[in-house]
Amino acid sequence: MDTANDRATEELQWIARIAEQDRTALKLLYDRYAPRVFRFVIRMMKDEARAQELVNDVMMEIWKSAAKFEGRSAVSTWILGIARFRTLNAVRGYKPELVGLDESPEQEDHSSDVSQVKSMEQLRALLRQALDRLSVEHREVVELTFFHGYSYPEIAVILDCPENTVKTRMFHARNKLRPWLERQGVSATDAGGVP
Amino acid sequence: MNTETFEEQLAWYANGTLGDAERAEMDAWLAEHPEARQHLAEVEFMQGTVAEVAADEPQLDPNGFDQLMAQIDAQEQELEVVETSVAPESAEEIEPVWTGQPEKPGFVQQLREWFEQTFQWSLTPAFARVAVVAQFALVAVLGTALYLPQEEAGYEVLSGETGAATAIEGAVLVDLGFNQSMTLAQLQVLLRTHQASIVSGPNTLGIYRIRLANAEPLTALRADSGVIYLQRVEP
Repeated sequence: MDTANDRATEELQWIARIAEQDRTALKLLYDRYAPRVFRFVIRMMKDEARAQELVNDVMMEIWKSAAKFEGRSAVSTWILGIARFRTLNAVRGYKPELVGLDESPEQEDHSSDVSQVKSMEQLRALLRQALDRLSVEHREVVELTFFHGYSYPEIAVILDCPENTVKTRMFHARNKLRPWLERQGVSATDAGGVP
Repeated sequence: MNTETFEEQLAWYANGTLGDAERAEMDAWLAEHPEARQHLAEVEFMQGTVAEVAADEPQLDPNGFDQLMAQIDAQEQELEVVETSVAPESAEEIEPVWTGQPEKPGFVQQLREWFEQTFQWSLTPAFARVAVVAQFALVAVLGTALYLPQEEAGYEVLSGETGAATAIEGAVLVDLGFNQSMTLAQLQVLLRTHQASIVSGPNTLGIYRIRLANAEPLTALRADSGVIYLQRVEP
């Protein structure tokens, strides 16, 4: 069961079995997706207890609505779409630290000085802080792209928005982080990229 | 594609999900634009950072699936109760009392019909109707008072006997009356808990005849606050 196609076929079979109330199939799906859903949710809202609840909410919805799944998108896209919808509902009224598009990172992060950053790990830790300050809309695109490895058409399905919106959000997220990266001295060489 | 389009797609070039044609175009563009390679390096650094799971990041609860199963069990039980209340399997036995929407005419309605048929009620003068109703009411109140003497323990053993329970094919039959505030769901839980089933009822006093697997649940039923009458049925 190595290729993406094999996995997709297997997951479709699980969904069909779940539609018939097969708990073993639900367990298989849970083992594959619960950690991913949890990671997505926890990075969106930073509330561990709530994230655990949301994972089960998502799985419960799959349990109830598997019979309605028509296969118009991949199972993984469908599941992350449910997770994203529920996460957005959960974060309504919950105000994480957000950074507006027009705010400069220089105005908000005085905790680090490039001259004191010694290691790649320190750079990554600082970048994670900056990522946490992105808006939910930008952060979810970054997460779905870089952690979950989705293509932009898949992300458009998950977010239920046009593909161009996905690209624009990524573009803005990068622009938001770029001055910060430059300030931290992340260059092509530092990042291990193309010299 | 123009520069902006290439820039927009750098992230998906980095994560390897661009189509073959888009990837080839991106390769060509990167070869011609050294500054774009710097941007790609930034994107790759972002990718590595996001994909990395920090040591202090919370982990999924290993008991999460068990909790999910418990949630599913609870919801299915709730659903079962709702379905039963909407379309009970033994509607004749349960629905008339516990849903508040009896299929058969109620006691008052039956009494009114009986009066109509017996005394040609509509032709009876008003004062005579009052007298007859008053007499019946007096009889009913006195009868009820005698039939349902004072109770303090929340239930009543109508027979007053404590001998061995009546067994029919190894089972025990009892007559039970329930507190009016008891809901259908509570009744079902009570019956399931004691592996009891309704044989008949309710009668006009709201008494059900219940079959128990054995006499063991009798003590618990007596102690249940929802049970107000309990009488074993003699063979």
